[in-house]
Amino acid sequence: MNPGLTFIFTKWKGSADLALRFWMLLLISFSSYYAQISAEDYFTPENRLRFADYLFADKDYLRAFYEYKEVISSGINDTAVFNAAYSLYKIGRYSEAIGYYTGLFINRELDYQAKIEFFRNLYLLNLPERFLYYSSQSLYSSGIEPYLLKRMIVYGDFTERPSSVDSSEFFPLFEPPLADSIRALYSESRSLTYKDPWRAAIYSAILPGAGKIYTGETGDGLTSLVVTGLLTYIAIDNLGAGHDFRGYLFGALEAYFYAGNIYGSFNSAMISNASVRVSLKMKLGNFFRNNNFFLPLPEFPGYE
Amino acid sequence: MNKILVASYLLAHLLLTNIFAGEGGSPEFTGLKLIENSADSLFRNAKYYDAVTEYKRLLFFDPDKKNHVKYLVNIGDSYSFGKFYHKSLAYYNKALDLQIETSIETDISYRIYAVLLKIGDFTAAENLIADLEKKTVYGPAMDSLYYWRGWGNIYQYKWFEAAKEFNKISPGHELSRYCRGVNESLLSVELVKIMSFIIPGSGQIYSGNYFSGIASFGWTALWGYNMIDAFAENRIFDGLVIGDLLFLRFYRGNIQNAGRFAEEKNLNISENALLYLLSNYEGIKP
Repeated sequence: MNPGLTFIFTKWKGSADLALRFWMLLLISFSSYYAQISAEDYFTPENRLRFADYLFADKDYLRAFYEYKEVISSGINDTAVFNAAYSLYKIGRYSEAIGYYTGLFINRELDYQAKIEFFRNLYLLNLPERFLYYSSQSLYSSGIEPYLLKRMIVYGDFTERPSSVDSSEFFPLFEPPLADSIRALYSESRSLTYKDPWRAAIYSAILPGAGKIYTGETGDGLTSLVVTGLLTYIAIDNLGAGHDFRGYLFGALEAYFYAGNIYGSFNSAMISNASVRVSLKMKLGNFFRNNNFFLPLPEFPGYE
Repeated sequence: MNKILVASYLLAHLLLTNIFAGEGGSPEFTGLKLIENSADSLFRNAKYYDAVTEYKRLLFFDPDKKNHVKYLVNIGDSYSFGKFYHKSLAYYNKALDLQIETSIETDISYRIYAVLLKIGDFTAAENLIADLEKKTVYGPAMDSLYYWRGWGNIYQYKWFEAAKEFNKISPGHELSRYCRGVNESLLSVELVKIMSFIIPGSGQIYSGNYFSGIASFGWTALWGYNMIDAFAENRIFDGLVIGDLLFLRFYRGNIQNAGRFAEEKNLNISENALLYLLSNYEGIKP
């Protein structure tokens, strides 16, 4: 029985007015009944956490983050903090995610994975100096296998400057099957051929179009050869026939095409080299990202 | 006296219980209904992000699956208004996956059709409406079909075909008249090309590109004169080279250019006409 009703029926006797007692009974009865029929609260921390987990599983990370944030604001829940940070990671808000992960470093169960995620997000911020600094600080890196952070640093260097990496230091950091892919990428980075811009320019100065053929633009090279050759012929033919104006006009055009062809060959080699570098960098970067930066993913369902 | 009071109390309690039991059973007093009202209000006020959150909350907490169609459709609409078209399609399809009445299924299909038009997937849109056509047999539903197919043609800038579809609903349908008007204002690309074929630059001038028209005429005339001059002076090789590399290049370019200008102008007319319709037409539209 409702404690208010118990009090009125058993303890409150004697001098009290009967009418007052009647109305009190009615009020308590009504309020207790109303409490039973009033709405279930779907905004309690428990319900919010369930809803946030649902959103998280549905990959709606932004909404999941805000629900987890509400849960956290009503009391610390480490799983909610971890998931909030992971949601931020998934929507690219790395610096905010880092803040949440740092708060979990004292949690025994989540400490290791929080630190792993901390470094994953830190790497994505693209601040190599900060990454090096934090990886040398035991507060942040204790518990993490040293080779995990080292290979991120070395692979990062490899992505930026493939020729600067020492294979004897690089290869032992990886185990099969990853090691095989790393070796293949390394060999590919060493076997790329770059074109010498000056050589391309000199080739085109000697034979118009030859520099472009050297850089792989065969069609452009042959066109340059034909156009420059024809313009030269027309200029000479007109000058020979006494049409000086047309001769000089076509001669000027020929000189323009000839100079443009040399400059174009130089540029073509530069563009070819840049294209080789960019496509390698993209390939290395995609490999890194597709392998989650060589860091383990959380060992709970729903993380990818 | 006490007995009377206790009896009165029990009677009043019973009455109130019955009254509020009725109210309590009514959805206005349940938390889910409050969330739904809030979601609907957010949706009506175009606060789509928050509306989606609340509809998703309802999807999660509301055990009554028959309400889910509305939530899913409104989430789809919200995503569509926010231009998240692929998410919108995903939610409409989730709604279609539920067991629903044919009329609601058709309504959702048209929403999907509208989204497909917006993302430019006209093949999928046409396949969808062809499927609907197979299921549609009676008058008003056929009108809907013509109506949406008309909009499909509008989105593809097929104004003539669009006018024909709207005309099937009723001769002189306002959208039919509008589409016919737009169609009549389009330039004939072939005519413009023929004009430039006969008089270089005239097609460009006709399509409103005066500078390009004059330049085309000037270049073609200059190299044409040089070519003829070379042939007249028996410099056959010069004439062939100038004719092939310069005169014909400018002459052909002039015709291609005229066609391209006409196509660009038509595209511009169509884009403006569609934008005008989307902003000003008060009927149902994608």
